Amino acid sequence: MRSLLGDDFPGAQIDRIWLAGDGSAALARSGARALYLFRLGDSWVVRDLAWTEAAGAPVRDGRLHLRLPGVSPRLARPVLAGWPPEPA
Amino acid sequence: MLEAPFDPVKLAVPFFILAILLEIGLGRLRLAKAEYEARDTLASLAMGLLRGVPALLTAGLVFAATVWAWEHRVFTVPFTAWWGWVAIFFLEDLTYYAFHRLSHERRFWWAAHVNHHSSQHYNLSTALRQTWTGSLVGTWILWLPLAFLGFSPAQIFIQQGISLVYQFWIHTEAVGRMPAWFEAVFNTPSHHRVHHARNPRYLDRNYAGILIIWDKLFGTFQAELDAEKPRYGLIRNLGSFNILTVAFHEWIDIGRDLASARSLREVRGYLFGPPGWSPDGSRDTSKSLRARWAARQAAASTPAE
Repeated sequence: MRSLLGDDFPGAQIDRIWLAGDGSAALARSGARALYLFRLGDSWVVRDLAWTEAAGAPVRDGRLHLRLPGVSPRLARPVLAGWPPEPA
Repeated sequence: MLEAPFDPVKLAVPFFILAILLEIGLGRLRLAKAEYEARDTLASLAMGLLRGVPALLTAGLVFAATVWAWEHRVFTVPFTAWWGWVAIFFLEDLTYYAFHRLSHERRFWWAAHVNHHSSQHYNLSTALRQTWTGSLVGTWILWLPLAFLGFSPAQIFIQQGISLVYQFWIHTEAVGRMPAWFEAVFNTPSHHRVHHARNPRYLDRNYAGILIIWDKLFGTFQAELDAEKPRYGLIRNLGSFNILTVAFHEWIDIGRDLASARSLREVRGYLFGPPGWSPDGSRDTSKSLRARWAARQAAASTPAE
């Protein structure tokens, strides 16, 4: 996952990463940014957004409801192990 | 001559289908490098099959404009003259280079072309992932000078078709490199893999149609490097195989940006700036990505003190 994120965000410092149990997604914190990685077919797609938006996103039935920038998808609903992060 | 006696693209369709099936088969048997993903391939095929429908909206206008230009021609190039075909081969290919470069470097035209680059795979089906909005953005005007020069609408149409058919076979990873003399002159799978790559080094390079000489002439050539495998797709890849998303996502993004624009400068920038342009420069463009990549390369090659 770190390597995949490194392809799209070269040089980005990954502070912490939360993985979906089924390996289909990951959310990483990189300073003030949240980097979201998810599977599409046999490929991967990334989105980045403000960390505050990711950290403040609601969790319902164990799923994070993450509003994403860009046209599609607009909403991701991963089940991330260890989420939500503990307040600093 | 107004109407073309044949359409190279229609004639080539059976070859397209057979070639894709062959590539899939060779890939499955591990006799060639060919990675297919079913939904990705279906999206590409659907984009190709339906591309003619939106083009019907402007077909009459494009034909009428081309005929009008031809009726006001400076010279007359006989349809059967061999030298006319040699001349249009080079001139049409140069026109294609200009069209293709514009389609990458200015967002209004990129919005029509981006779908062709939206697959993360690079195989023969990707060649068929054609634009639906290309005929609506007016780039056909770039071909009118050929009619003014004296090439008939039929001859221009046929040469455009020949170029499109040529460009089909270069969308593959199954072919490594062609002989050096061929790579030096023609657009090849290797050169076009670079064009479809999103590695910063490869961004906005190799716009060629048939001849790679234009890129070498105008400074946009980049050879494929063994040490840097192309990663295909967009800077920010699509998260969907929906063909409506594939066809219109950049137009939707433009609409959102225009709705938020606060001045004419911003409207102009969002429409006609390079893809990724933003008023405060906070978004990535090819130029900024390449600059950051170059800075990282320079830093990596500088010995630590």
